[in-house]
Formats: sequence, structure tokens, C-alpha cells
Amino acid sequence: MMQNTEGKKSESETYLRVEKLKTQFFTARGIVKALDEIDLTIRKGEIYGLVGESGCGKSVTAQSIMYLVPDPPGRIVSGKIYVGNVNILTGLEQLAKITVKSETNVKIKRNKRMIKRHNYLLSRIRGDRISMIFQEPTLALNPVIRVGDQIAENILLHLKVDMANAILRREMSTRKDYESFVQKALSIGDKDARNKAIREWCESYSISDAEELVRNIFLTYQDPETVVKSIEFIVNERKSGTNINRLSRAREYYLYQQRLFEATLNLMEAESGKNQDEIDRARTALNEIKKEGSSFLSFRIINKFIGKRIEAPLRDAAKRRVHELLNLVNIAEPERTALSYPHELSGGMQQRVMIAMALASNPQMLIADEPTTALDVTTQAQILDLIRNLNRQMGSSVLFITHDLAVIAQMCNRVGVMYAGNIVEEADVNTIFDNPKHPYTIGLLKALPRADRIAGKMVKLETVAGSVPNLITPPTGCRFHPRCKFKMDICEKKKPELDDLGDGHKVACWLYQEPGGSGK
Amino acid sequence: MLAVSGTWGVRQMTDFGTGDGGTLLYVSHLKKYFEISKSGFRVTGHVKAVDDVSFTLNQNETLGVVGETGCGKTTLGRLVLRLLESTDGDVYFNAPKEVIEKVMSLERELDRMGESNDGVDKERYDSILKELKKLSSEYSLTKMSHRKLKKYRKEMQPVFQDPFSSLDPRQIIRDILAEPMKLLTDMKPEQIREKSLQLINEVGLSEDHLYRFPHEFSGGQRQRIGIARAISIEPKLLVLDEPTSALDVSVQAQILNLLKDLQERKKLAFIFISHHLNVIRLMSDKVAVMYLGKIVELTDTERLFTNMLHPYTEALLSAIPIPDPKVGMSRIILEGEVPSPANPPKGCHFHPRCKYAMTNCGWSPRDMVLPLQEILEPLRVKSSDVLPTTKEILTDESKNTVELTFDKALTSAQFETFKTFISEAAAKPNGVRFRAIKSITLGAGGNSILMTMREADVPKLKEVKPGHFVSCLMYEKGAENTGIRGANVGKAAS
Repeated sequence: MMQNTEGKKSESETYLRVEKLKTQFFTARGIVKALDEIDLTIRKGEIYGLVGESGCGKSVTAQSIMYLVPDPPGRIVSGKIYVGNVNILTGLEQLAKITVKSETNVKIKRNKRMIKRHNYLLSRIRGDRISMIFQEPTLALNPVIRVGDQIAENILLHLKVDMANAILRREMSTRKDYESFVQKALSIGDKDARNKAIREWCESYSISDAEELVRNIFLTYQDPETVVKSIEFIVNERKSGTNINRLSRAREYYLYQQRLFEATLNLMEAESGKNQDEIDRARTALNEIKKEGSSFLSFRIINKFIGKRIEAPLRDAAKRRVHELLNLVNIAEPERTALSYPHELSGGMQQRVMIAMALASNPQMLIADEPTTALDVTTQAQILDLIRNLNRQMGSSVLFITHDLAVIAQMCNRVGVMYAGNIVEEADVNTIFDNPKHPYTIGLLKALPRADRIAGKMVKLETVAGSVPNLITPPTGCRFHPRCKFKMDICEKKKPELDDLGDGHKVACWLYQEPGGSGK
Repeated sequence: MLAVSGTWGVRQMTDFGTGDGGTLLYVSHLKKYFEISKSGFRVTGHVKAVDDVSFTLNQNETLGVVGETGCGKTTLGRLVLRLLESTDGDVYFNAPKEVIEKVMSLERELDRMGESNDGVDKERYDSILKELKKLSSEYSLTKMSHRKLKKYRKEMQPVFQDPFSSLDPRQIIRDILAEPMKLLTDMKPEQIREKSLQLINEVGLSEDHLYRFPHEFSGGQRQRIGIARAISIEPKLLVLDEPTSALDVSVQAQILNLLKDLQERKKLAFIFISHHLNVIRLMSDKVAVMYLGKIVELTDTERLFTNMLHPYTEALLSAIPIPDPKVGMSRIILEGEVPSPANPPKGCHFHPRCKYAMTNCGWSPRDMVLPLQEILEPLRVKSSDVLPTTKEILTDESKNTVELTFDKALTSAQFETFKTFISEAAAKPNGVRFRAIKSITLGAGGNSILMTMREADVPKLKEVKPGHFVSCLMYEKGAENTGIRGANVGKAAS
């Protein structure tokens, strides 16, 4: 089971591990080698910056991690992407067989059944464990749906079980539950700890809109009897009289779906392992769970006709969560904003909505693909602050993609510099800016106009000559050699590996490796 | 009325700057109001995209224009080129030196007349207006006939932001470059061909690029072509509207270097519009900071970046990310969004977001609604439950009043309590808006309270230090706050 594997390796800090990822686009003009076997690890709670010019493969990396590479023409050819401990690219070779006859003549034979299963699995990982903030909020938001509903969609997809649990708990709660909670909360002396307990309790009872009220009650009254009474009143006021039987049936169905997903994931992993025993075991487990499905026949029929009514309490809970999320991303008047359409919001507000959407299901990993490129400096400062605070509060990892080195300097813990589909240098942020090694990194840093330095009339920027090569016919060996000032003979012939210089400072350059010169 | 509204130390404007030529461009009280009509025909309001903007530009000099989206930077550039018709104001470009001097001295006299309190000499006033009108119809680009304008069009050229949409996709580069020369000069075809070749080499491309289509080029190369086209007819002024914002860092550096080279060689003047402050610092000699259609600060670049005087500039500069992880972040995060230019805040447009705001900065009834609701909210402020429940808060912008109605009549004790609430709120450091309340009276019937706000003062662009123009009430005589404190761009600023 997935939980088992997670339990085994929980000591390891990494949340995302990309190994030898290779993504290519098969176009009529030739194969675009967009990613050339990149390796990437992102630790828990870290902000990892990915920087490079446009056309370097930053966005393709993000798309590959989300498995959103447009197909056709693109496909992930090989590699492994571990999210938590699940390899989301398991069984990659079963999905499609790629036979390359020549650059322009490539046959891709897709296995539709496997692709369907893979998509089903990913749709539950994507948005739940990893989510993404897109570059152009105007393009990423649906113009004909209210933003509140767009955020709620994500919540309804991934948090159904939790919400159903909370609602059922609220509907069936009695005085006894409140008493035990009040006793526990009153025994906590520390104010922050108590507030945290209150928040958790309110969430677990799906009454988080009354969180402030409950907190005030604890502040005003010390007497347990009065507190219990007022809480009882608050909860009773929020009981909606939902059909409990129907909702609990629905919850069972959602749980069944979750089990089905986990079993399928196991089967997929087993199949990639080529161990026949394991495959058989996973397959029988899956079949066992599938058999349970027949008992849900009547529910599914009912759901088909009155599904909206069954989901109504969930929808209400989702709406409250939307307001919370909008509050979290510093939007004033969340109720009004939730009801507006994307075009009624400014760019900064739209980007905030995107962030709220990405955070909807408490993901462990957030991919921010140039989240501030389309924004003004002052708005950019607001958004960057927001992302940094969320990272600190929630402890989720962030993969931050941008071409602006200044933003990287202010945001990230670790930085990877990409060039033409390779990571050419990787180090912590101070090392990259103080002691860059790769000629490309040095060039980028020197080409940066700086707002904190005096620039006279005659001052010129140093530039990296030329531009990013066409990746259909990338340069041989080190892909940077045509633009490099320190070009050597070996650069044309052999591709340098990403080599550790110590302290996690990795560089892919022959200047620092055998065989090669001894530094520059 | 042409120029009474603004106060302008015009003489000093011509003096500073590093340009070695004379004044090339004098923009005087330029305005562009876009009409809003909600019902279709009736004009219901105006968006003041550019509102009373004046500056001068010398030869071989660069003016940087910065500001957030929607502050009117692009409109200003288009007005100067007369790609848009202006509502009011003049643009004197490449006019004889005496004319510009004459206009400046006349406007200065008008300003003095407007400022002085004693009786204005009506006759003299009218004669100045008449003279100015004559000069502007003769020399100002905004009033000129199109035929006459053609002569001036040769001398100024735009470079646009998006290199992907500013080149005709159906023409080869040779034709794109030749078009301005064909239209505006009487060069022969052979000359044009020769010139194109020279131009394409000048911007760092080669001859075979002349026979390609725009789609075959990368963004940086297209921007080079755009620049080549702009300089093809030897203009004196280039209006660069965000020329590098669509480009990568390394390509941006190449283009900026190219522009610097060209300026050095051809003694061009640039109006450089950008929201990237780091690029502005590198490129410009002086900088104009715009906010909601107005210039709020105008001075030479170094002074602006090290010794800014306007609170908005301070906030804007503090928001620039510095490419050095060790530079601490002392950001001033501006609250809220840029207000709508169709309905800008009263007085100083920046006051609702300004942390130095004073009572006379333009607090108006609509700024009061939310804070009043906050202090009257019984859940947040416990003591406010002695007052009856608030029914509604009515604002009247024209009378400058806020009216609070309650569902019951207030006793005099309750009214006193309300007054103490207001004075308590005013005593807080962020309670400027409450300090701006002039009077509180009990309305007729006793169930309403009427509050009158202080009249707003409108800041004008004034020369606070030599060569440093700021539009802020903090630099008026007897202001409550006296200037911004301890501002710097990053800590590493030298």
C-alpha cells in the first residue's frame, strides 16, 4: 500500500525527486529535445528557484512534473518523478511505444487503456499533492465561471471525504462532545495553542466560519458550563438538518473511490517492477475492492438523479472554505470577490485567486511558474510576500520558476540554473550570487541592470553573446559552448556531468572537471 | 484658461540635465481625458489618463518615465508623438530656441499672476493668453495641421513594446525598414537600399537578414529591427515604450547597450517608458514618476534613487527586488490596488495608500465608511454596544459630509460617547482620517450624526530642492509631516 511505503521512507527530507527526466516534442520539423535528462530534488519546506532564459525548458520542467506536457506533440520519453514516494511516471514505457526512424519520422503507438488509467491516477495526485500557479492568470482562469466556483471545484474534487466527515460529525454531535472539547481547551493555558486547538476543532466540525465567535467565547467566559452552552447554541444554529443516511452513504462511496485509487496505484507500481507475484497480489487486491463496487449500485443510480442534492451540504462547506482561502491570500471582501468573474478583477487579484485555487487542497508541493511576470513591482512585492508567508505557515515546498534573478535572490533557498534543457549549476542562493561557477550563470548575473548601483551614462552591461539555440539541433557536447568565452576542445565533444564541488554546489562545466583545465 | 492651474519653475527646468544641446522638447500642461459614457451617448465622466503633465527634454538626454500599470505612461508617450489627440496642453518640439523661451517666460508670468493674491491686471492677463495661443497654434504639435505636422514626424519616432505585433508579418525586413524613408523623405530607391544595409549593420544584424520575414526572427532580433526602423530617418527623439519588457535578461542587456551606443553616436534624445526601475536607473538622466496621470516626482536619476522625496517613489523603489540575497528586505508594501482613474481619490491621489498622510491630504467621506463601520462593530469593539444599532452610513461627496443614522434617537450621553470614540480613533497613529473630521453635529430628530470633513488641499508639482520637483503636501509650509525618513533602495545602495 502507498501508506506503507510512505511510512518506510518518511525520514528522508525530499518531497520531490526528479531523475533523468527527458521530455521531447515530436514536430514536423524534427525532435525538440526540450529536457535532456535533468535531475532535481526538492526538500520539504524549501523554496527551490529555477532560473534561465525563455526557451531553456523551465516551463517544460514544470509541465512534466505535473504531467501536463501537451501530447501531441510532446511526450516524456524517460525518467522518474517521485512525488512523496510515488513515482508518477510508473509504467511510462507501457503508455506509448516511440519508434524513431528519423528526426521527422517518428511513430508513437499509444496504449489507450493504460493512458486512461494513468490519467485517472494523476487526476487525483495533481491538485491534491502538487498544485501549480500559472503564469498568466487571465488565461488560466475560466472567464465564464465565477472565481468562487472555480476554487470550489478543486475543493470538491479532493476534499470530499474530509468535508463529509466534518459535516456528519457536526450533525450528529451532542452536548458530550462539546463538554470534552471545552475541558480540553480550558486546560490549555497558552493562548496560541488554545487558538490552534479551537481552529482544528472548528474545522473538524465544519463550522470554521464561527471560529472567531468561539474564540471570543473562550475569552469572555471562564465558566465551563456557560461555554458549553454557547458552543452548543452555535453548533445547533449551524446544523442544517441534512439527510444523514444519504450523506454517510455518500461518504462510504467516496472512501471506496479512494481505496480504488490506491489499489490501482499499487498495481501500476507492481507492474513496473516485473515481479509476477507482486503483480498478481496487487491485481487480486484491486479486484477485491472492485467487487465492493456492486453494493454501491443503488447509490450510484440515486446519485445520477439527485446528485446535486446529495452534494449540497458539501457545496456549502466548500463555499465557506473558499472564503477562508480568499482571506488567506489577503483579498478584502472575500464574499464579494468569490461571486465575481475573472475579468472584474485586477491582475494582482487574479493572481491571488490562482494562488488560493492552488492552495485549496493543502498541497505539499506548489509549482509557481513565473507567477509575477505580468505584474507591477508593487503588486509583485505583495505576491512574493504572500508566497513566502504561505510557505512558512504551511511548510509546503515551492518550485519557483522565473527568469528574474532578483526575484530568485529575494525568494529562494536553493537555485538551479537551466540552459537549453539542462541544469548547468545548482547551489544555495548565497553561493550562486557570491560565487557563481558556470560561465552562463556569470554572464546572466553580469547582464542584470541593478537598481541599487550607480550607473553613469557610459556604463554598459556585459552581455552573453548570441541567443538560446534551437533545440531541434542542439549543439553537441556542452550545449552552451557556442556562446561560451572559455570554450575548450572537449566542450564540443562531450557533455559535462553535473558535478558536486562540495557543499551541494553542483556545476556542469568542463572547467571544473577532469579532463579539463584547472579553473579559469 | 491655459496655464493658471500649475506652478512651474520653468527656468530651472531648462538648466539642469546633462544634454549638451538646447531644449529639444517642451511639454506644457499636457492633458488627455478619455470620455466614459455608460448609456451610449451621454458622457458620464472622464478618465484622466494624463493630467497636467509638464517637462522639458534636452538633446542627447534620456527622460525615464516610471509608474504602475494604468498610470498613463504609454498615453503620455503617444501624446508627445501625437498618435493620440490631446485634450489640452502643448508640445513644443524642435521649435526655435526663442519661441520656447518666450512661451516659458509667458507661462511663468501667468503662474505668478495666478499665485499672487492682489488684483490681477486683466488686460495684461488677456494679452498673455492671446500671445500664447498664437505661439501654440504656430509651433505646438498638438494644435498643428496634419500637413505641417509631417515635417516634425520625421524628427521623432516610436519603438513599441511588443516586437511581435509591431512588425508587419507580410513584409520582408527590407520593406519594413524602407517604409518610413519612402513616406517621409525624398530619398531615391538606391539611397534607400544603401541606407537599409547600413542600418541593419548598425543594429548588429547582417545583410541576409534584410530578405527575411519577421516571423523568422527571435524577440531580441525583432526589437533590433524595430529600432533600426525608428532611426532610419535620422530622428532627434525616440519614444521607447517598454522596449525590453518582452525580452530575456541577456537579450535585454544587448538591446540596452545598443540604445546607449546609438544615443552616443547620433546624439538622440530618448523618452524611455518602463516599469522596470533597474532599467530606468541604467538608462535615464532624469526620471519622472507617474501616479494616476500625474507626475509626482521629477528629478535626475541619481537623486531620485538615493534621495527620493515623494512617499510613492519611496514605496515603489523599496519594492524593487535586488539581485543579492544578502540585501535585507525593507519593503514598504502598499495596501490595496491602484484606484480607478475614472474616480480617483480627492486631493492627493495617493493619500489612501500613503503612510505619511496628513489631515489635509484629501480625506473624503468615502474613505470613512469602512473605518466607521469598524469602530461601531460591537463584536470587535466591545464598548460600542452602548450606542444604538447603526442603520446606514450615507456619504455626500459634494458637501463633504458623512451621515450616520441609528435606529433609535441618541441621548446626549451617547453622543458624547460617540465623540470620544472618534477622538480615541484619531489618537491612534493610523487614525489620520479621523483627525481630518472637522465637526460632528447631532442631526435633526436626534437619530443621526453629521460629520463634516476638512477641505482637501491639492498638491502641485513644485521645486522643493534645486532641480528636484515633487508634488506632495509634506513640503508645503507648516505641514504636519516633514518629508520621508530613511529611505534607500536596498541597503547596499552606494
